[in-house]
Amino acid sequence: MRRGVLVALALASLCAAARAAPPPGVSLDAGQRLVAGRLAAVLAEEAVARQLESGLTTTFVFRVEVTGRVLGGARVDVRYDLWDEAFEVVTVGADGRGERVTLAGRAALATWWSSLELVVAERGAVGAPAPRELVLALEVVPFSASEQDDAQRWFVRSFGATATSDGPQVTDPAERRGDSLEKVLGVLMATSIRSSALYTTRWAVAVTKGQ
Amino acid sequence: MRRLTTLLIVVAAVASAAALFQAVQSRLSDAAFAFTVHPDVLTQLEASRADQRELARLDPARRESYRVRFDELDTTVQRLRVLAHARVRLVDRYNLILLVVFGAGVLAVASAVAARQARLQPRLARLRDALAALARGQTDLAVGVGGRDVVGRIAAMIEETSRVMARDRRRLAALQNLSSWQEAARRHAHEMRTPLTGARLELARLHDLLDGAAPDRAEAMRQAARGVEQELERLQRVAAEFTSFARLPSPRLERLDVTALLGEFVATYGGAWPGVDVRLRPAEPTWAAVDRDMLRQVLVNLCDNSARAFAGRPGTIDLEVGAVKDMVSVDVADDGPGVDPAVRDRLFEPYATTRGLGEGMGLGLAISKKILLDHGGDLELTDSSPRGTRFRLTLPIAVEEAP
Repeated sequence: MRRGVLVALALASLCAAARAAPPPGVSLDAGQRLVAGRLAAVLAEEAVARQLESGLTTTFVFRVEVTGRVLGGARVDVRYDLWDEAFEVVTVGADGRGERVTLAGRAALATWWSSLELVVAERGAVGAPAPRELVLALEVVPFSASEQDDAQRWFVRSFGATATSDGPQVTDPAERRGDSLEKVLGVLMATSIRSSALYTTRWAVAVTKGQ
Repeated sequence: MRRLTTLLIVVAAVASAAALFQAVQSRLSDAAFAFTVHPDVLTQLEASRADQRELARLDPARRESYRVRFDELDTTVQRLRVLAHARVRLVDRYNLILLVVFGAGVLAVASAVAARQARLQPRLARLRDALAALARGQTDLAVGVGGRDVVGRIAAMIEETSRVMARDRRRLAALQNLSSWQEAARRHAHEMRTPLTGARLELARLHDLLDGAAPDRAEAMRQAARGVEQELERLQRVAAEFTSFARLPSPRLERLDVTALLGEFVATYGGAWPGVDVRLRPAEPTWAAVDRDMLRQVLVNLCDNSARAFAGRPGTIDLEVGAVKDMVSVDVADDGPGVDPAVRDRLFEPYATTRGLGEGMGLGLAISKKILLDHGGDLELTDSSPRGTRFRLTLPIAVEEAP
């Protein structure tokens, strides 16, 4: 109960802080790369905030576009380890560089997130002259591909579980055919277990000159 | 067109059934999946997971086992969360699979029914044709539809019925033939026996006269000889009647005005039957190809039959000229008691008569029919009731030859 209240309070404070935060920005750094920053507002969304402590890997996919053309993108995976009560965060920028950090609690995550800068487009992709305005798109996916695969396999296994777990060895060909049919049905069903975006948004931002 | 309508009805029925199935099934499956990933389930699992962590804190010695249990519960929770996230898609996919299975089942049944119908149609057509042939009186039918189903059994029954009909018809024909011969033999015997008996008696009287010494012997012998002559003439008439039937000559057709011909007949023969009024209904001149004498013979025969039917009572015979399709018709109608139903069906057969023995051989209508058929026409009984009888003669129209 107390934990629930604390989580609710943390969520509320996080959302309030995020709402107060300025919108994301994109700057052109000295290496002519596009860097996204001021991303605190992303965590303001209630659906996103609730998802963070689900134990599943929440993936934030950033993408920059100019007149519909994608220049590049970056990804942040956030997974809350319920045993250690710590967030395991992995970032992968457009330059291929990754970073793995462990953050003890919401407050640490919020702090880290507010200072997060992601390389969203490489120099080669930006072109010359660099765009003055662009669209920064965000898609929040509630679970990772591996978690999806694991759930699918588990689902398929559960379809044939009655015949293989506790019961005697199946020798009747008709029953074996029945199991095969169950497997096929399980696979057909399992392929519908796919992630869809939990939250999407787009910001039109002016590109600033960075350092 | 009928097939298309049937197909549309089948498609509509399948679509309706599928829609109903989908409506019911989607609610059931949605409820089932909702139960599987019910929030209470997740809550309980999460609570158990938290308990493992708490237990590990309280009992550090068994921390690892609690950790393992914690991870197992956590994995299950994460999987259920993924399922919950994909619940709508899962339900949709489940419904789609069931709908496809249902549709396939319905289509399989519909295909089986359609195939059966397709096989049934030609067999039913053969059955219909066989029944039509049976109705036309055709016998010894071979329907050509096998099988032990209803259609096959009906076909077998039709074949059996036609065989029975054929057998009965043959028996009936044989019996009728035999009966006709018996009647003919009886009448021939009677017609010949009567004059022969008369002649024998007259010859016996002649013997007595030759042996005796009566004063008027010469006159008595002359009378006996006349009696023998009369009986022999009677035998000759019988023979002549047979001859006229057996050697009926071909008609010598002329283009004649039938109305005028009937007028002459009424004028000549109108008074031949006492108490019978023979009348001709006024009509325009109507030309037909006719043998004058033969037509007269037919009319005499029909009027004679009517007069006999009146049995001494006064009666009327009306002659009426008309046209039927491309034929000239002559109706001979009386107001007598009608034809005896017992002979109506074989009225035109030889020896078919209701007269007693010695009153004729029953050849008149047979001869009349033959004459009209030889003309290219016909003689039919068109009406017979207690109010009267009507015969219709049909004759071919004679067109005027070009000069």
